[in-house]
Amino acid sequence: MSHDTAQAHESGGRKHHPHVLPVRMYAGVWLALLVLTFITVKVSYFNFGIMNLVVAMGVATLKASLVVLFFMHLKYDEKFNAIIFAGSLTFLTIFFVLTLADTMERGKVDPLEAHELVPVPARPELIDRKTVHVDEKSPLVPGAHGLQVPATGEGLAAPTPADSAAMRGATGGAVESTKAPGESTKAPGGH
Amino acid sequence: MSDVTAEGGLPEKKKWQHHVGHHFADAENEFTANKFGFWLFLATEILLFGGLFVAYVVFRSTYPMTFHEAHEHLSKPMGAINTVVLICSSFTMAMAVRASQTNQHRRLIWLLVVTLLCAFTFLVIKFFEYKAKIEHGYLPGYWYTPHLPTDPANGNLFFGLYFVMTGLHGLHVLGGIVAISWILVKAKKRQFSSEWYTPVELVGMYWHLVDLIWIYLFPLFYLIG
Repeated sequence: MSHDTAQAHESGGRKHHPHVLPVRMYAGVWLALLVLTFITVKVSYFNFGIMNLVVAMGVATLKASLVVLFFMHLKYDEKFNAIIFAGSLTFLTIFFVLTLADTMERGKVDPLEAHELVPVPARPELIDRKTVHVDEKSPLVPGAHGLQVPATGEGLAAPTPADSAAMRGATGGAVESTKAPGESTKAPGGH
Repeated sequence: MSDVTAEGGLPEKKKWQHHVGHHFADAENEFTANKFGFWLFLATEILLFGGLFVAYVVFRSTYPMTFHEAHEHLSKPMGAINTVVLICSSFTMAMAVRASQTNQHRRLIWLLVVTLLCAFTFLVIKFFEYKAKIEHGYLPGYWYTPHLPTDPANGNLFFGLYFVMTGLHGLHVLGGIVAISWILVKAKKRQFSSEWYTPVELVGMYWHLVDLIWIYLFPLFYLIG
């Protein structure tokens, strides 16, 4: 860069003027983050069932929003940067939705079809763990999901009955996926 | 802008001047372009961690009780203290960016030092947490060797994700320490001013993202209801 160009830059062009935010605002956000942390820790000592997860994620999202909007200045930033950020969240959502649309829906077959599917493991590695999960005492595919099954392992590859029960109570939409096909008419998360 | 004052006290050395890159129209153009590029980088960071969060959700929704049992082997107070430490460091970093915007050189330096101390505190606490988990044999995969009857069944699922996600986050904290040290050196040379403080701003954004990811890691691993 020649000296002349540098001169032109320093004198001719727009200078950058920082958008200085008041200390009060930063301190307020800081206090809010500490209070929210305190709340989320306190709440975790009580059992509200599904609400624990909702509160924990709600508080975390509130905290994250405060950090992004005020500490990272996105509220006062170029709108295009907000689009970049929203774009990353959009693609993250697609990632979540498409993956869970697969894993949450596995084993959801018509009870009639399920009868035909279960007894014939032509290629065991292709059989879905949850489809086979009709008889909880005999997991046919112990290596599914890469789990190490200890010598004493009792059905570790398939979700334990406790896991399945907890899902019924805890995670509304996720419920049907772990059920044995025959159960799929029961209403999820009734209590 | 009334508080934009050159702080006295330090001896005036040879003046360091940032020159706007010749491919930018002017200083404002350079600043917005730098920031835009950095937001793109942060978007890739979000997606990097995003993959791990997807894995977490898939396994937790399949093995809720396993996750519930295993999480009780983590220390909630330690996780909470680390959350507070990171939030405080995020605050001092935000204040450091503000100090660079207002030409408060000394304040910028001590705020960066406090931020660094918080980052080290975080890693020290994390070290003791890891140490306890490793002693219990909770390292992921091949090294998962629990030896107590009270150890959680199937805990390798939980602790595999725990070590990988908090480990990757820990590496980002280390990266943050390097980056903050770098701007601390530049700040000591008085290279930042209200007209050019881009590195402070960008390192600040990075540091807030590290905080932001921990804000989600903390409830997901330590506060499973």
